[in-house]
Order: sequence, then structure tokens, then C-alpha cells
Amino acid sequence: MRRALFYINLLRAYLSNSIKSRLAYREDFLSGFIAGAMMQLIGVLFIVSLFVKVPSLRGWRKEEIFFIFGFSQVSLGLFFTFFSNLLELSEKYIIEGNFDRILLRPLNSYFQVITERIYWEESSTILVGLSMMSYALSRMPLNLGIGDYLITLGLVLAACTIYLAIFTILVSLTFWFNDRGSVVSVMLMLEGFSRYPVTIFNRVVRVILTFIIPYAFTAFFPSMYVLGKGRYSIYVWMTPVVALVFLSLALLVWRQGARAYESTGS
Amino acid sequence: MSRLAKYWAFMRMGYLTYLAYRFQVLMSFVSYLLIIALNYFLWKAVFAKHQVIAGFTMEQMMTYVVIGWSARTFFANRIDRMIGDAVRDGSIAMDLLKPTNFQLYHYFRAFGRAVFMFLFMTLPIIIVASVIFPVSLPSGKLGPYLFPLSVILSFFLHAGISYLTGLVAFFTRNNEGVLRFKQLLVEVFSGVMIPITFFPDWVQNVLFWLPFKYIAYAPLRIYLGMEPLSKVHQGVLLQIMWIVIIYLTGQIVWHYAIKRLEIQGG
Repeated sequence: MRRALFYINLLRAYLSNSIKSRLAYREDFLSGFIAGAMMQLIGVLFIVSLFVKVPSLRGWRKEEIFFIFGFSQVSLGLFFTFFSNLLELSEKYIIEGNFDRILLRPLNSYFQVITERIYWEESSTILVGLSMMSYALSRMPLNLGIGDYLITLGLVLAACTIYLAIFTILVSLTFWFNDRGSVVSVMLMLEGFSRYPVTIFNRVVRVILTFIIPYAFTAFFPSMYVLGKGRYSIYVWMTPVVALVFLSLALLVWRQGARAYESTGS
Repeated sequence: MSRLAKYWAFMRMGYLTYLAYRFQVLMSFVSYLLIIALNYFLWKAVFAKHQVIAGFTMEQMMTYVVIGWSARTFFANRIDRMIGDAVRDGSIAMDLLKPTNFQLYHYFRAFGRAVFMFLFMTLPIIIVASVIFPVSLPSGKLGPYLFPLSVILSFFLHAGISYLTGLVAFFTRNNEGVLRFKQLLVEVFSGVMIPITFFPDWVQNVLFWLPFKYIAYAPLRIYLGMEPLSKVHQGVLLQIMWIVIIYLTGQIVWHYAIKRLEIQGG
């Protein structure tokens, strides 16, 4: 209990530091934010121009696709904003030897790597995703109550946890294998699949996205709470379960990796 | 050293740089296959209920996607980023010492990279993707001959656009937003992402006056044999025209940019 409080206090200190240092370089933040928003816009413009000519995708209406797309961007954006520093593990911590510094402190190494830098400018992804979700909601006669919004928020957090788990497992591998982030870039590319209903894919891809690399749970299945009309409800409730199982697995891999870490130092 | 030997050396340098990154190139290859796969499923879903959309049949669209993304590996370049980095870290001073045309230096260095990419990305992707996905051979009388020429022109056109974007680094310290904006324009309006016939008419009219669609859309139409002979010639001539215009603009802007340069440190 005291340990938990200790970490919460630390987290508060880290966050306020990070906001202060970001405010010191406002121009960088703004430029990063706009740059990020423009990259998101590429994907959005694709889907918008597609639906100029096509009314629906395998029975999914434009609004539904927008909602799923937005959902995936919000949870991915949350991951990018608060956990991006993990993606620097190979380059910044292992190759440059900064992980030694992390290990010297009497603090959890995972906690330290995550909190050392918050990427506030990546919140552009969240913003773009939220706009897509609200556009979709405003065009659909759904009648959602406050409880539904809270559950959706919970599902977004679960989806973000799944991203966190997937990328934690991937970057942990760099404790054993030297790689400058190219496997991560493949996984980011695969993330594109999460923006669309899994029903447009063939069986093999669907099985992979559901059971092996659970990208179907980062947007499509949780979106079905709002869009599903009862379909896929079992998958909706599986989302937090998948998140917890994968996160536990990820923490395990991280711990083993950190143990296997050998300093590059001289 | 003769002029030609000089540019041959720059090309070789660009080529050799990438030999060091074999694993990254392999991963990049996987990423491209993933993008093509995602596009395959998307377009399959789109064409489920339609024969022809925006002037394309399913078969043409699949070929468009595979050849388009493969060609992108060839005509992509990092000129804008390289100039920006060189200005920021001062290594531009070394580049300026070279008794050469700065613009052509960048064009040819990037072309060396493009040759590397052609051998180790473009060709392998086309081969593997045509085994997995339905891809047709170049059609029409001129497709097989003029398409390669047209894609080489695409390279120089895109190199020019990147060069101009890179020069922005001489005028502003923080050029990330500009780089991303250029990327957005190229990704969306070159036609790699989606054929520009999907855009509303007024957008297509605007694009007629801009160079972007000659990067990918025009060559791909030639590949697919979708243009009559006169239009094919016209397309290639317009590519050449834009290359010349952008090259000359680059020379003029350079004249002003070099006066703005201040190198720090010592």
C-alpha cells in the first residue's frame, strides 16, 4: 500500500515535470502536434474519399467504419502519448547504455522507462480519433446514456492496454536481440488492420487478429458495444480480459528481458 | 574528376549506405506486403457489390495497388530530411565544401538509394505480391515501354519536391511541420493511396494544375493502358515539364537560402 502511494506520488512529480519541460518548448510541441495531426489526416482522407464513391463496406455503413476507425485512433493515441518512450528502449536505453542508469535506481525499471518522457504532442492522434467518433455518433440514432459513455471509455482504456502489452512484448525482445526498432515499425503497419471491421478479412487474418496479435480487440470488438446491436457481445466483454492477460504476459517478458540485459558500457 | 564520375560516386554512396541496413530493409519489405494485403482486402470489400468504381475494375484496382506501392519504394526519398538534419547539426558545411551542384548532389545520392531499393524492395515486392494477389501485366501498346521511363521521371519529380521542402530548413529552425505537410500532399495527391478519380471533381480540377498526380497516378494509368496514346505522351511531357520547373525553382531558392545560413559552433 505504501509502495503504491510512493509510486503515485512519483508519477505526479514526473507528470508535472514533463508538462513544465514541454511548456518551455511550446514551439516544438505545436509543430509536433500539427505534424502528427497531418499524418493522421492521411488515413482519414483515404477513408473519406473512399466513401465518396462507395456507400458501404461489406454491409458496414460509413458512420460505423468512422466510429471503429476513430476508436482505434483514440486508443492508439493514448498509447503513443503516455507510453511512446517504450519504443525508444532499443536505441536510447540499450544501445546507448542508458538502461544502466535505470537499473541503478531502486525503482521498477518498466515504470521508469515509461515515465521518463511523455509525448504530449502525440495527443493529436487522440484528437483526430475523437473527432471521427463524435462525427459518427452524431450521424447515428443511438440514444446513448451516460453509462454507455463510461463503458466505452473503459473499453478504450482496455484497448490502449492491449497496444501497451503488444509493444511491451516486442520491445522487450530487444533485450535479447539487437534491433533498431524495425520490428516495431512492422507492428505499427499491421495496426492499420485494426481500423476496419475484421469481417472484411479472410479467415486466416481474422484468426491472427483475434487470437495471436489481438488487434481486433483494440477497436472492432469493443466498438461493437455501441454499434453491435447485440452482435459480438461476448467479444466486447472479452476485451478487458484480453487486455489483462496480455499485459501480465508482457510484464513477465519485460522482467525476464531486464534480467537478461547486459550493459554495453565500457 | 569528370562531372559524370562525380555524380556516379554520389550514386554509389547512396547505394552503399543502404547495404548496411539489410535487416531493416527486410522488415520494410514485410511492412509493404502488409499494406498491400490490407489494401487487397479493403478493395475486395469495396468491389463486392460494384463492377466499376471511379473508372476502375477490381482487377485494375488490384494491379494499381501492387504496382503503385512497389513503385513507391523506388521513387521515395529522404532528401528533405537529410537537408534538414544537415542544417541542424552543421554537417551542411561539409556538403558545401564539395565543388558540386548541391541540388544534383542530392538528386543523385537519392538515385543511388533508389537503385538499391529497386533491386531489393521494388522487384521482390512485385514478384511476391503477384504470386499472392491478382496482378496483371502492363497493358496497351506502350505500357511496357513507357511505364519504366515514367517511373524514373517520377523519381526525379519527387526528388525535386523533397529538395524544395528540404530547403525550408534554411529559413526556419523547426521544419517538422513542413516536412509532414509535404508528406501529406504527396501521399494523398500522388495517387498511391487512392486513385485521384475518387476525389470530388473540384479537387481533381485543382490537381490538374499541381505536380503531385504525375508522381504515381499518371505512370500507373500508363501501366494499366487506361490512357489513349496522345494522353500518354502528354503525361510524360508534363512530367518532364514539372521536373524542369521544380529544378529551376530549386536553383533560385538555393540562391536565397544559402545567404540565410549560419553555422553554429566551432
